[in-house]
Amino acid sequence: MFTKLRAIHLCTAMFSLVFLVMYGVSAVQMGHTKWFTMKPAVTTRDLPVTPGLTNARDAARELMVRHHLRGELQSVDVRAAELRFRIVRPGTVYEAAYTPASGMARVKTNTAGFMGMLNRIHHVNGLWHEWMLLNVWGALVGLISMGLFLLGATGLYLWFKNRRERLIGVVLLAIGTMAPLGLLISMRLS
Amino acid sequence: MNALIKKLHTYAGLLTWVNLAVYGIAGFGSALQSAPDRRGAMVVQRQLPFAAPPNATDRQVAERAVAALGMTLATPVHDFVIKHDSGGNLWLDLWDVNGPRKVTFDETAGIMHVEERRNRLWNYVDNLHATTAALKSDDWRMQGWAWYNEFAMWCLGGMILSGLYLWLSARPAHRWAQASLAAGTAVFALMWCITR
Repeated sequence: MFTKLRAIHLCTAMFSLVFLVMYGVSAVQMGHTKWFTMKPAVTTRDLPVTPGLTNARDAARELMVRHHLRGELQSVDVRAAELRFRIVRPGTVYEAAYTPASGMARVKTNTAGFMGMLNRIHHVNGLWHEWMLLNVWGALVGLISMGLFLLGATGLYLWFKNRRERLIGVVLLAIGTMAPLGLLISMRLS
Repeated sequence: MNALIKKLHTYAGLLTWVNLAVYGIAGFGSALQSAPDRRGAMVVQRQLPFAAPPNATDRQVAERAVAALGMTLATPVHDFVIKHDSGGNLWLDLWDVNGPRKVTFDETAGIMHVEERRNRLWNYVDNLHATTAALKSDDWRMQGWAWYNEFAMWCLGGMILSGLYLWLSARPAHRWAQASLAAGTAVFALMWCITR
């Protein structure tokens, strides 16, 4: 039993390793924003689109198919003379301003650096996206989260089986349980 | 050396298992989260008697209102929560880990209207998982959690490094571990390349 659970602990950690590093590094970046430079690279270009479109979704779809912009449509803003919208995927944001009269779309591309990409992957959520890759990321988030539970449960078992560490372990476990859990419950009841 | 690293790895896990569970719950809830337009929130509206001194500044009114509501988790009161509508009337856009509260005032009647959108438990946990020592709160519980969560975040990093060391020093030839590492890394790399 011990050997099996130790193997599960090890293999779960190994599979999750790169994901956990991603979450950890991006968490440090978000907690200490001044430590990192997060400026994206920005380029702007004009792309031809069918004139006269009145629906941002149609304009976005054409940009995706004809000009290979990949991502999910977001933030549609309908104005008098133009349609503004974003096509977003982790690490890249296309800000488009489509003019129906001319059939041109001015597209500002914001490309995140390495840390920016980690930050965006950290925030991926849900299985409801139109852009399938985001759903795959979402499923991986769920999988790695279950991995964390498994790591915790097997880790607790492995500790308990080590008799020499049991006494100090109980003290640390008591601290590690009562302090954060007490705060959690107290704040929720506020 | 191996024994010391194993001790530290174990102790870090025992001290921070609740935080790691919070990260897991936040992640799992995030994966299952509904689309933005389908996220319902429990909305509660109520009125409380509230009379501010006649010469009170907006900030003074805001701080008295927060105190009257018992919203210590929303302290200190920041400038950006003090707002005015198109008629110039003061309203407060308050937020704490349990959710947002919009507060408007009826000076004539001496009451304040409170619209509270209380977070579901998952949203509460999600807010907490993202709270680190960058937060400065006047509520000792919130600040305590922020520090402890910061500690847990660094412990996670320590456990990753120590865990990697323990594997390489004790069982580097473990085939299943090698395969798991290869598989997880390949999935991440593939997803990164396709997404990028």
